[in-house]
Amino acid sequence: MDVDMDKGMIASEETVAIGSARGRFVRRTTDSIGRRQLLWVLALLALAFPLRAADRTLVSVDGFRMKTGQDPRWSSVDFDDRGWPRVNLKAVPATDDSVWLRKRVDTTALVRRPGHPLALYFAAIASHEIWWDGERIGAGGVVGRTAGGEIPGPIEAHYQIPDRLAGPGVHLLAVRASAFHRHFNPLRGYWVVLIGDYDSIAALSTRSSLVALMALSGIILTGAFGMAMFVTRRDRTFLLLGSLCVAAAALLIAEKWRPLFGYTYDVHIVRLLIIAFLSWVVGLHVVALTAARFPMKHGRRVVFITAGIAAAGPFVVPGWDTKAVFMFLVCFGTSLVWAAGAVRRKLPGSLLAVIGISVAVSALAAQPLRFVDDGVYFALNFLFICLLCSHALQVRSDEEKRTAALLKTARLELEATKRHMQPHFLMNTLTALSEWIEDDPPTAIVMIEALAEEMRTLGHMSAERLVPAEDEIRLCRSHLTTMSLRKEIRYTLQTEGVESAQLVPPTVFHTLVENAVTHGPLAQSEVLLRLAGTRKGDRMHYTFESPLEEGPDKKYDRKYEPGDGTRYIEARLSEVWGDAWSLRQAPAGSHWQVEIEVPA
Amino acid sequence: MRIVIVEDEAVVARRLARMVHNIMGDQGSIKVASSVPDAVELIQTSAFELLFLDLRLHGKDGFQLLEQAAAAPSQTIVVSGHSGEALRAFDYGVADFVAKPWSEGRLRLAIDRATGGDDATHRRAQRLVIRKAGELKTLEVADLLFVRAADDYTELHLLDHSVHLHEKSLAALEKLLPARFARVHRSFIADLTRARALRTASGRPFLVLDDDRLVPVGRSYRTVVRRRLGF
Repeated sequence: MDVDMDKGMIASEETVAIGSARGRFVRRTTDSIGRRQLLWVLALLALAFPLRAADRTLVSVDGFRMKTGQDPRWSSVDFDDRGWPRVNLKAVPATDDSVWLRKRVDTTALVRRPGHPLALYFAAIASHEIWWDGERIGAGGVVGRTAGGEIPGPIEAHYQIPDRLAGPGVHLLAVRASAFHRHFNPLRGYWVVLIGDYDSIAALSTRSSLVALMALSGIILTGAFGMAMFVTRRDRTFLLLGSLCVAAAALLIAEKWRPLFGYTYDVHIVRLLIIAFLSWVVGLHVVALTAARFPMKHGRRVVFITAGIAAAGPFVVPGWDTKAVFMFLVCFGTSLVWAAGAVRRKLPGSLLAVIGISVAVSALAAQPLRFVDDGVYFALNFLFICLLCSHALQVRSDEEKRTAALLKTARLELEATKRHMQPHFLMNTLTALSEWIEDDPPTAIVMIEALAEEMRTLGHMSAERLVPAEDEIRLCRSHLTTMSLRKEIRYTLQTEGVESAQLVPPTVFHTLVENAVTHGPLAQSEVLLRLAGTRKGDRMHYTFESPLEEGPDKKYDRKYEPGDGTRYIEARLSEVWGDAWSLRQAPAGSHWQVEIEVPA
Repeated sequence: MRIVIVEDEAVVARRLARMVHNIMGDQGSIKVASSVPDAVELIQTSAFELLFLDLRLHGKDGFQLLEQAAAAPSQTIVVSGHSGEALRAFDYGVADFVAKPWSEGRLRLAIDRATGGDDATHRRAQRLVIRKAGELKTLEVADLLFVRAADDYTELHLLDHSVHLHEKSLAALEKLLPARFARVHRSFIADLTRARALRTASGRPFLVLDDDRLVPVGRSYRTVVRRRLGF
């Protein structure tokens, strides 16, 4: 935006153009300007802010006559400038010398509060001298006929017109200007000249910044919150929220630098570039934040493509404000589509995000230039409110999930212990132990030791989420010792490729071993169980094989329904890896085969 | 006495067999089945008088076996680590429930109860399982009016006038049925709570039950029946 400031303010001030043949109400916008854009704005503003012609406290002056060169007579009231061509202040031609612009201004229609001096507001990408009724009332910088002779003046300034020259009627306004330091700023200069009472003119700067500054506090607070949350939670979404706020605050300050602090006109182009860049950054952050908040496929790609389109826009679209409008439209539009996709997928909080972004998009579509000036900060604040509410909902749902997970962990721990206190295991073991005590005491001691080892290992493991594979295998082996002495079958567990330090959920292999013994053959004197581990990239693949019960009842035993054991294993795997695991089991020849794949 | 042990734990089965042998001496011959199909086959095909049954074989609920056993003429003693299953076992009319691990004394008591040496049997059957056309069918003891001996079998006479054959002897059923069922005749057991009167017809005493159905009362049982009924 540029010579930007106060589009909004001027509009609400009901500016009327005097001297403009078309009598059209003029809006100051950037140095650029698409005609279409202007019409668009006019149409929208006409709807939003009906003019009240009676209340003219400020008038915009246009329709100057211009001449290149320098002649002291050109400031005088009497000089006849009728031979000079008229220029439009929105498109002051570039020249290789200083220029004079002259205009007779009728202040009769101007409404002035009694006792207030008359003032003139002047904004241009040029150094200037202002003459009123032939009297020099002020200058910005030093006007020169060469680059060396010119000292750049402020981008905008206001001057009090002496009371003796301020009476109602026709006055001569003459401006001498030079613009050798505009750099590669578009050649068409964009000037704004306003006349009104001093207080109204002096308040322009503050008024144009006040609205946006109110939004700044919300941006700063949200940014601080986002950064704090990122530091404590390491959640990328909050980092994006934080950096969005930093970028938005920077954009706001860059935007309002001019009315708040001012600068010489040669710096203007730098500020415009900064604003364009920050607009791009802010827009992209909104897209990235939406994509991070609602993770779906191709999120990164969408952000990059949007970044590309938004970055290409400014090279194609004319006008600084239009460039920003284009970038915001691309970015907010993409975010809206993305959030709508999230709503369709029923992602929590997505509806709030859609509401937040919709408000921004609607504001942007309704008043694109006001959006770029002030609207965007309020839209962001509203979006933050929506995102924070949606975050609160998410936190609640996360808390519930966490509580459920904790309960589940507690249940699993209890179950692991309980399955060993269960009567079938314990009572049969004790009965077999009684027999060994009477029949062969040394064997009884071996059995007691194996049982003690199993109970001990189980006791300290069951509360863990993960244990080293070697501990788990030791647990399996002590269980098999006990079972061998109960069933008088020699059970052996053969392992292959199982890395001893690899972490596994406790009692998962143990449950497989238990099942294998319970459902395994009874008629053999030896039973071999196999556990093989293979690393495939970042996944561990475990295969467990145990012989099936043989005999005429094969069918009876092969009918497979997931039992308590399988459900327990699944619960243990989900506790650690969510959905990132797989468990398959099926008969393979004379064996029962269980395959488990988990992240390594 | 022919004895069958159904138990899938080798050492437990060995202990049980050894103790039963200790208690019964040479009067008992023992067979062991370690899987469900083996046990079903043994129960259905071989003749035996006493069954020791583990209710959980190969991780499976053994009530299928319990039903088979309940329909058989033999007496059943359940030997299980799950004492929680005792109630359900008694419903099916088992002679006793021995919890693992057991002592020899406890096992001796169970054998006495099952084989008639001890009168203080549990008598808690709530249902009777009969075999009809090869299928097992469960009858509620609450629907039973009286039982009549028929050779080696018994006839179960229900309230709805239907009659079913049971493979258990009258003496065996007497040990299982609740105490309200009393022997009123050498060949009859009747539910005394359903008795309305004690009558004499042609000089022979009869018990009049619900629906005016008559059951003969044996001479030697008359005093006991009269005392229990309070007539």
